[in-house]
Amino acid sequence: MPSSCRYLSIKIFIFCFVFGLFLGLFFLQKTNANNLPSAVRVFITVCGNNIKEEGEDCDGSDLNGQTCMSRGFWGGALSCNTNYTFNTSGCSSGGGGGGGGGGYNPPTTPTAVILQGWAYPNSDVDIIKDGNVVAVVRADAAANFKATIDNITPGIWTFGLSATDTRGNHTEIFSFTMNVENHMTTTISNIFLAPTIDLDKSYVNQGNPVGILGQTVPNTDVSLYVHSDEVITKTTKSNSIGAYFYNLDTTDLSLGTHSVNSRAKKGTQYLSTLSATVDFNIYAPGVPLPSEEKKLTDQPDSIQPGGCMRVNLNCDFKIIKTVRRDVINFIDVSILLYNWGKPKNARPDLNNDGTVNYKDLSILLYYWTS
Amino acid sequence: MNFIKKNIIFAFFLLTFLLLFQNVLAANLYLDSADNNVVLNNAFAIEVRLNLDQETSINAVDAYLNYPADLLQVVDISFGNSILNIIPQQPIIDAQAGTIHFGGGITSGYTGKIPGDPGLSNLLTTVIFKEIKKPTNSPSFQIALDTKSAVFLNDGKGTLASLTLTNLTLNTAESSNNLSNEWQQILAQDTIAPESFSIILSRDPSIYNNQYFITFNTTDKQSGIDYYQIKEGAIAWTKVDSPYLLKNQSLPSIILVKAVDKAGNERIAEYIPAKIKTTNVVLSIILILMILFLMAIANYFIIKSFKAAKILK
Repeated sequence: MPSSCRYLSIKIFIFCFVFGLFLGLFFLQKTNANNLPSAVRVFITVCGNNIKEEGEDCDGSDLNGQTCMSRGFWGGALSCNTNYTFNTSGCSSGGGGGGGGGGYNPPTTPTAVILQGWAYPNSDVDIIKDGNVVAVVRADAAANFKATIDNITPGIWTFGLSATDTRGNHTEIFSFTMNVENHMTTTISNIFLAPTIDLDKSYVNQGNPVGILGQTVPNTDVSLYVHSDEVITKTTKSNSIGAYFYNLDTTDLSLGTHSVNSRAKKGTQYLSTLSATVDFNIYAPGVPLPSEEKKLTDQPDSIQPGGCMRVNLNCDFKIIKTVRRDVINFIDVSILLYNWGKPKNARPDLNNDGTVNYKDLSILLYYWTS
Repeated sequence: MNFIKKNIIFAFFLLTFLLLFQNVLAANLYLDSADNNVVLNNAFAIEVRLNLDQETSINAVDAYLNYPADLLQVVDISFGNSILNIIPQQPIIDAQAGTIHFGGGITSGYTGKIPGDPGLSNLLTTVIFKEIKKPTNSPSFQIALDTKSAVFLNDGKGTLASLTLTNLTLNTAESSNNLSNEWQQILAQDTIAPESFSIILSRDPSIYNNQYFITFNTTDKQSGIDYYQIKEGAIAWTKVDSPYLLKNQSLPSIILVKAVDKAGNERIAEYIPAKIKTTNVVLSIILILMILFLMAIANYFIIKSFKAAKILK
């Protein structure tokens, strides 16, 4: 083999090796960052755009190639109802001759947004539009919910959904931003809210179990991701009321802080978003455990005198199913803005860097409840 | 040996390049225009937009824009149809240095474009420029995003997203597909008022010495919010920002806040203090009682006149 060819083949080998290494690192990083495969995203159907999409029989002038005859009539003009089903009132079933037909007036579609998916059985789902709760809908016993937002101005909107489970724990806000078009009804389906998650204890001696519990859709598979030296995946199943529980054996886990989050899977197709992450600490066997009461720290979510989180700048709250929940809304943003730049007191400086700026706004908005 | 060394260096640079490339995928701040040709003395719009990598969620943006101050003049800045729904401070324009600083937050976070969305849904702001002078050395010039710009992840820690910036080169031309005075056309088409909103009354020891203040916030999906005004009782409309310390702390009157968009459309929110609500209820009860009393008197006289008529018969 000539030396130039040998050098070239070595170079190709190195390129392949490095590229392979890159791909390996890339996927390793993705796995570590997100801990699991990508979530199924929401599904959008736009009604009124004259394009027949999934979930619609027809849409305006798009009759999906159907005619009165293909629908079993003798003739006439097939049209589309405002609910995107076929309107066969203009079709004839045979018999006497018909009169002259009038012009077809396509129905005017309202500008609206329909949000539907799964939360927790009989839970209240907050529907948030650009930061404000605009509706609260009740999920049924199978955790299905559906909300309609009428009279919405066309334009770009950020929608958020949040629900509270039977124990008073709430999910992180599931949010997405989209363009609402004039005279079209946009349906966003397959919204699968993350399971709630909680622990029966925060401190445990190595070898003793930690109970991981929460709620999701009834009878679904729940994956638990324990963030330890590596991500350990455990699985369980929710019961008929959507509750799940897993007793995690800590024998093989190292001493120190670990965290866990969860995700539900409905059937083979639908994945929820990831739940919040909760921490637990493992101590050596026999070592006395600290009190379960949360320590006073300068972290945004640490409980301050008055019983509210630091990020809850005016310390207001609401009681949901006997659980006290901090309210983070425009009032807290106001207090943050009052302290914009050089803070007048330390509390709104959420990252403790001596200035209140976009970084603090970002931290506050993470805890947004509306 | 030299060959091996060269290949190790080659491998190192290749790996570094590939790793760097995959690390900057998180967020891309970019500038967009309907047409890259601009005409002297015409206003044109530049849009600042944001693309996100999959699975990335952000909730705040702090952006800096540089433009040639000798060639361009900032006519206006609009947050109409922006994904930002909290604007902590008005954009800061330095016409001498040719810089614009703006930012904002997104309640609930922004997760990028979702499949099936009929629009782009990634607009941060629209800057309206006017070319006041043609460039002398070259027919083109650049509007650039400054490397100070930052995008924050929605993670509760204020973590910076890996960010790439894409600038825009514009050409000065005799004609353009950009509408002549495009901004005026946008304003003329905007007939929709800002979104409805409410006024929140609060007091807190950490702000304004525990005095009453109000909070308000809304958006406008077309030309964007221009300003807010307040009317406290008989006091005339005054331009204000949120939060606002109320002048009359005894809350004797109805508070009105007006949101005005860039096209002049208005939306008014009303706050009726509890005291007035109570007074109104009391007044209503008094009024009803008075009406009932008058009706009873009228009834008495009618019955009396009937009886008198009967006696006369």
